[in-house]
Amino acid sequence: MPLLSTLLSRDVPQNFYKFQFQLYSALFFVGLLGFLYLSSPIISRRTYLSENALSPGLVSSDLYVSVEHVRHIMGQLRTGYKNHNITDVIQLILIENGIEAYKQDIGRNSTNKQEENIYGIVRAPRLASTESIILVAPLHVRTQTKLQQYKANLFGIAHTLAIGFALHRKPYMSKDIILLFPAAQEYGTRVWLDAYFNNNPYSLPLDAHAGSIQAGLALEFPHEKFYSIDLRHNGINGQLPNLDLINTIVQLCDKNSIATTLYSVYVDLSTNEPFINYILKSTRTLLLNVLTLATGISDGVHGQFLHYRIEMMTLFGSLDKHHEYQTSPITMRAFDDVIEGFIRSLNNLLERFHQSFFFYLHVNHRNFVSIATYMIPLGLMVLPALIRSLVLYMSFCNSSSTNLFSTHGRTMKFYIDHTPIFIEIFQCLAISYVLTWIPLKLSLLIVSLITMFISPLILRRFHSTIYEFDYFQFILLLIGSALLGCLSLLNYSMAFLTACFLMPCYMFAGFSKLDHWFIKLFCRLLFIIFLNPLVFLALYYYLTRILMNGTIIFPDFVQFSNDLDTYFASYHLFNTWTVDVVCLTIIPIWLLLYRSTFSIRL
Amino acid sequence: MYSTKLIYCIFFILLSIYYCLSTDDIYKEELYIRPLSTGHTYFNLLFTTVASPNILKSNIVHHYHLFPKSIADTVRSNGVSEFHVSLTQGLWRYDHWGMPIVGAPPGAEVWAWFNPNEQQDVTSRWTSFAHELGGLLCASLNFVDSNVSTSSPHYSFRPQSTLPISKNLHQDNSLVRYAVLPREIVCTENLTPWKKLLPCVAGGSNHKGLVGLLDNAPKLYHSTYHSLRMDLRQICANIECTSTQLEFSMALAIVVDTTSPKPDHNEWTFRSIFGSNIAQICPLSSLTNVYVDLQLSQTNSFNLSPEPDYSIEQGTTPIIIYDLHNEKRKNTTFSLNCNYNKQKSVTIDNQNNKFSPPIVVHRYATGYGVRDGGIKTIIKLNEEQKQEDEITLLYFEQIPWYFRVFLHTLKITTLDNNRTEIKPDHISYIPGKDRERPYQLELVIKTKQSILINFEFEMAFLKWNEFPPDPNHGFYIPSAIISTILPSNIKSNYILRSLNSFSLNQSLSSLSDGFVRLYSETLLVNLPTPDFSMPFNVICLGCTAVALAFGGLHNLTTKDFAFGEKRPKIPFRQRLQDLRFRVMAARHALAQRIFRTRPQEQQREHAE
Repeated sequence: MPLLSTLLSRDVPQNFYKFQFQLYSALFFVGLLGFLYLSSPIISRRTYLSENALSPGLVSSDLYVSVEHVRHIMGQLRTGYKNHNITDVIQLILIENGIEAYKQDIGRNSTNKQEENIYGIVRAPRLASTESIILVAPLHVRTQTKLQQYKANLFGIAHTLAIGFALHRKPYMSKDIILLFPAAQEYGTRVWLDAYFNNNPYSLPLDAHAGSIQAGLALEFPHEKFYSIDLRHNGINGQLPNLDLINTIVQLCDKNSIATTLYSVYVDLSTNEPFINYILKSTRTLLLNVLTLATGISDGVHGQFLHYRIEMMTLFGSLDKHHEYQTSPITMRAFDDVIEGFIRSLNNLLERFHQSFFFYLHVNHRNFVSIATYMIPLGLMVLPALIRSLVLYMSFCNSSSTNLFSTHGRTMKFYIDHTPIFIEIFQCLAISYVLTWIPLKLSLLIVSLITMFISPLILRRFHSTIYEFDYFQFILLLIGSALLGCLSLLNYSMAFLTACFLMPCYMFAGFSKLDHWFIKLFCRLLFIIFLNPLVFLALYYYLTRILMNGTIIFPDFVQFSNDLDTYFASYHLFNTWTVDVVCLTIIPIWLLLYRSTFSIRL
Repeated sequence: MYSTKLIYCIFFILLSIYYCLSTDDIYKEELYIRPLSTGHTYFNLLFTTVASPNILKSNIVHHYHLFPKSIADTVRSNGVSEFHVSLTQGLWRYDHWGMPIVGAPPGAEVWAWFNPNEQQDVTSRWTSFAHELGGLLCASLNFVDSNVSTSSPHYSFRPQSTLPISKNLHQDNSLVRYAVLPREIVCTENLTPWKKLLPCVAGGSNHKGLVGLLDNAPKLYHSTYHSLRMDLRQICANIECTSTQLEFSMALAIVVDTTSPKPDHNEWTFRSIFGSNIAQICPLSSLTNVYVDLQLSQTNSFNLSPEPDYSIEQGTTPIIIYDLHNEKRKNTTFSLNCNYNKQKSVTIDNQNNKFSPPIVVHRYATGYGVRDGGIKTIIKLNEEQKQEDEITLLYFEQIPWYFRVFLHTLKITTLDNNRTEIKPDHISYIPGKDRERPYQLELVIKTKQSILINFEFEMAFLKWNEFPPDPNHGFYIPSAIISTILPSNIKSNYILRSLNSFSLNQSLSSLSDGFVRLYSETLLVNLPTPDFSMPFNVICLGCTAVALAFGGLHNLTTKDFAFGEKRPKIPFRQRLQDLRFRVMAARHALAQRIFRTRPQEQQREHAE
């Protein structure tokens, strides 16, 4: 094996230089296609329950929640919503049934109305309140319809209460059940969790606690009936709940013939479904999985719990029918069976969730791809960067040359002045850092982009020889692959999208080395038109919209700016680092690459 | 001749029987019942034996009359002067149920005072005592001697013997050991050996007296709180305290949910709670009383049958009493039926009703992640019964060594919005040592209002074999203990175990001393835990492979290899010569050393 310090450019096969570009692009596209291939049934694995203690659906159901009882509770809740004293109504219902109930003040909302969280604790007789399970039903649910953005979670609250009452005084319960009804969705949940774990030193302590929370479930049912359940499990910064938790729910829903969807995509696993449909739908689920996880924000209140290492997911009652023969909505009995089975399974659990997978991508509700498999396509996509940097490194060292520059144990052909290179890097970092100070708004995003584009024209550019250019490229490639390596472990989806964006950038920046004015101009043009972060963002957004709707839709700029505003608003609330990573690493790298197309001095 | 011998014989036998019967052992059975405002009912069975202290003296022939021999043997051989054990399942909810007669933490708790001046040291006696007691109760008390859970508190656990201070000199905290095992699970296997220590337990299920209620063990565990306890201490036999006695008290407290399907209606009988009635009284007992505490009678209408024998008032609380030694009850089966209705409708603020106790303690773990954590303890004093004069609280905390407590983060503030800081009057803090002793913190706080105690800790990395073999769901931090004496004007409202006598009969008649000990929740905290499963092994193996490969790879890529000069070949003869020179040099050096040291020694001898 040759030493790294003695690698010479003549060690590289000459044919390699000829096919360099073909090899890099081949690796990149193989990676990209390999990712899509993950959805094929050959690669993806069938889900299974790793934790034996869960054994979902094996307990004989002994709860009887009568429909009249639930309807009665729903009636009470409805008057509560009407009179705007829903928290008082819930507290009264809880206390009447012998469950301790407490309120938490979370401050005023935008309409200057006092909002309160309400929670009750069903104490388990067998335990000294050291462990608990949590059931969350937000008071209002966000819906997609434009008419009414928030709807009362009547069904969810009523069932949470009914299940809580039914499990109260059951001798087999060995974990307390916390029934939490947060106001203001994620914000209320966050305030409650901060108070529970005392994370915020200024929050008032809660009146009661129930030990360490092991796992839980959030119920969001905007309608009073539903035909299928949408499972939502995206956490903050790409966190996911343990796969066993999702499998438990899927298993229980299957047992009760409730159709479960992921990202509202239902994949029929029966044999009479055509194979092409299976592949299309699975790919759609997989892509949606990656595209939504990359944003770093969660799609329900469960994201806040995952942040505190409480395994959690949201069940969303949707009105989509997935079975042809399904005419009537899911019965309350079937739904209660699912919740009961889930709680009994968690109740049997002696340990925290630690088996199964924490890093996975869903292909459909019964198939998944584990981290060992999905890392390979990303590796293939990043590999060109590593090979290219090695080739550049080897070309620096040439002992046969006359112009020797000797460092410790290493000989270099040419002398490189490092100072302008690092000044250039520092300059670009400083520009993007200053830009992050601008409040996050769409208009300012465009302003910052324009600044970036004209920056090579106004700011002093780094003028380099062809060797310095290579050296500069080498440093950028190393930075880029280090960034992708780190990101792939933290948030795979984001790393994947970053790789999709950065790798072509590297390629076209490298082309600008070629000594032809047309190529240079073409590269610069490409950087402005196609490899532009904003264009990439728009494309990404459009692709996500299409995949979500399942049909071709036309771009809607108003919707785009609205969604971007919502995203920026929730970004602060969620403690996400997506925007920071984009602003402080990806944008500088892109800016450096873009500026480098101007930099060769002949 | 034979007849006179026979007469003598019979006379001696009678004499000895008389002697046996004349020992002044007293055995009392009591059952205290209190319906609680949440629809639960609190039952406390109490068996008190008072015996002569002679059974603890060594080198004499012992006669155990009503006192259990196994306990006496254990106590005698380990030189224990008093001990207290409790095995508890569930948590006493102070804010809903008020004050218990005597509190206990979840899991097992043992504390004992040892006699001074015995041959063995206290630590080894404590170890053997805990092992023997654990064997007697079928509980894993053998874990208490481990370095995680035993401490010697200075103030919180003073001896409860009523002997004057001058008589027991052992006020030194080196003679006390306190241990708590929050992980311990209580079950029927603990109840059965505990029950067998009682005098009226016959074979089979033919028990007499109140023990008859314990026949149906599974029923006793269908409760929200279940606490077995045993206490042994020395008391004065008379007011002047010229002679001493041993008081051995065994108690079983259960809290049962007695709500019936009808709303706001509660109903229970002995048969529904215990599965049996009291068939006969225990002939060995001098007292068999059933007390029903009717503190709820202001809001609820009670319907009790049979009619009580008499009733007394303790403070403002009416208590009705059934005396089972009463002639009319003596030979009949005693059973109690109770049903009561709530009169008022529930209101939102019923959680702060007047039954709430003067002090409520609530504790929880703070922080998330597996590096840092903290504990917050809220001690709430009842607003309505708030005093002008200050109340003195004694706070005790024993924390296993793997939670590294930082004393500088200890902060005591008032609970109101001002958060004014309170300085404790006294702090006694013994820092823990890794794998040797737990952290021990005692605070004396004088306060008029509710307070918040807050401190932080860091979590230690455990060795892989220090994790318990059970499924890992976290590590326990034992209850914090708050000891205090209730102010004189409110203490009469609570039925507490008085220090004068452990039997309720006497504490009801005399004024209560108001000493209470409150136990907070135990906490479950996750330590940094490796996943002891396949991925963990894979990670370990992968890391090892990477580490092995890294060294070689690093060397290969960073070091420049060059040809070294060849070493000249040395002929064999030359080598031999070298060796000879080396040996000679060594001999020379040795000789020099010997000759240099000897004159020095001689000089020293001369000087002496």
